[in-house]
Amino acid sequence: MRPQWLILPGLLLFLFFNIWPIIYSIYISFTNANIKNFPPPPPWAPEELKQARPPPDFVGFANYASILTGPASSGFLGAVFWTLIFVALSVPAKVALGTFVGLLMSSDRVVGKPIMRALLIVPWALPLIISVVAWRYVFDPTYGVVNQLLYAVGISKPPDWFVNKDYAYAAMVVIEAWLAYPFIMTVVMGALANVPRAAYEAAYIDGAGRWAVFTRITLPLIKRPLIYASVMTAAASLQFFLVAFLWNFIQLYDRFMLAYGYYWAFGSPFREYGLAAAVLTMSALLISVFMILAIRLAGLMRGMYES
Amino acid sequence: MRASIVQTSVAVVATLLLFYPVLQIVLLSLNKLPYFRLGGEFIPTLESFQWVLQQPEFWRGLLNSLVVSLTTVGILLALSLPGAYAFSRYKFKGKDALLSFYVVFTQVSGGLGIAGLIALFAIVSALGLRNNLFALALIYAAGAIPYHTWLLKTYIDTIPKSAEEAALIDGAGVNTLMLRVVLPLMAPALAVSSILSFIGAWGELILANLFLSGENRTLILWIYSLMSNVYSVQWNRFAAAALLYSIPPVVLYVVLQRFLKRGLAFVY
Repeated sequence: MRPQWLILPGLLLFLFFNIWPIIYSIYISFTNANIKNFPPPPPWAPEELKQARPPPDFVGFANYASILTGPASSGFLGAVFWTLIFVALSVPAKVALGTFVGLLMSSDRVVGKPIMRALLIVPWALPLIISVVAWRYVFDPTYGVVNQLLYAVGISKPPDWFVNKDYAYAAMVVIEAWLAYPFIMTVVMGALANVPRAAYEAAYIDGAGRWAVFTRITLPLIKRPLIYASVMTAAASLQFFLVAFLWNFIQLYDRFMLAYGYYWAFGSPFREYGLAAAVLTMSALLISVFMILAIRLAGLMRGMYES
Repeated sequence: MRASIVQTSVAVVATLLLFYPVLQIVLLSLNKLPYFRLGGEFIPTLESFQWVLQQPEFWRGLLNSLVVSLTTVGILLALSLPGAYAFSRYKFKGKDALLSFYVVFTQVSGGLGIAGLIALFAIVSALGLRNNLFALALIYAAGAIPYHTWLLKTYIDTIPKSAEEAALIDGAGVNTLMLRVVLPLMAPALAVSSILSFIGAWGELILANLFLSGENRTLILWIYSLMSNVYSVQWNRFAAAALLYSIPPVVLYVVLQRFLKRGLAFVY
């Protein structure tokens, strides 16, 4: 038996439900698919049904013209812009927070690490929807601890973190940092786990200060894993969608490119599938370009096999 | 090295701050009052949990979620394991390219999943598979095949070939080889794969929300519907429902950590 046969069933299922939809979506993006003509009846449907519901018309690049220079362009380009800003804000926040906690949890001088590690890993283990619920309550205008604190420091009218677009967006950065720090923390802890204690002790005996030990021993050890983790987590920020979807989609749909595409397909009464497919195709293209650049520039494949 | 009071205090404060969102949901679920405020009134009770356990939607959702998640695990393992074995043990044309493709796809699967959503909706509708729990499990398994094939392949790479060679010399066929020799050796990796795919299926919302309705709604969809009408349901009851829903993945996650400590550190 040829070994390829062992791979084929899984590969076929994957291609059918994951790759074929993407190719098909690209096709839809060149049509006027909407709620009246989409989804089309299947090829084996009775003839009357097919005639009653003609398939979408081919419209060439009309949808792309609309989202790049036409009526939907301010919405789409705005969503892309805010997605990139989100990457720029959330990645440093995640990496800084995760590195900070990871260094603390690797320090010999901290007591009680096992229990703290168990608590710190919780955001990773919790289903995403529950994390969002927890944060909704943290940001709740009446009962939430954030506005309670703002009151306490003398701000008499603290913001509404759901209804106000910009504050809701700021909350997304905070939540993404919280969701992703366990990943960065684990990477840092992993990189520092195998350093012999003797290396640190020898450095101290030789008279090296703490800063010198950090820059000469710790930093070189975590640098490569951190670069790899940052690229991974930047890809995650670029694909940010679900938290915004659960937070207040009406306020946030035009701040994230995938959310903007979802909105036109399933989130609005218009159900402009063709336009939405164009938005999502462009978004997938951006994500793919990012991944290709990441693989080329950061030597990502090596990082994947090493970690 | 001496313990440092400063470093330990910083670590404790950081941990408490980062754990606070979860802690507050736990306290909220245990409060008799439908809200929880830091420094406010707190009357511990289990009434909210009792309320959840009396909801028929909870039990129906639980059953549906179990069916979908376990079916996903079954389909996924049945399809990933043979593929992983072939990737690990044989050389063939296109192997490295396909494996790299699988690994890269893993990182962008979330985004591409949304990108293909419209077409997937049409395909599933055309096949008449909307509102079908098993079809949903099939879709979940399909999306997880690249990652798990790669994961299992990485583990098989670490198993010496000698056991298989000995079995082949003894005249074992391919099926015997798989069932009697390879599978038992792979138990830890299979457990890790099962846990990860179970957690994934348990927590998936977008496809479930798009395809399932009525009696077939999974537990996450019930939580989601409560969340969408927070004004119609009391917050403490909602928090209790959310926590009960989180128990299986959190327990599995703890089990997973055990496996990871035993040398399966390549998962994340």
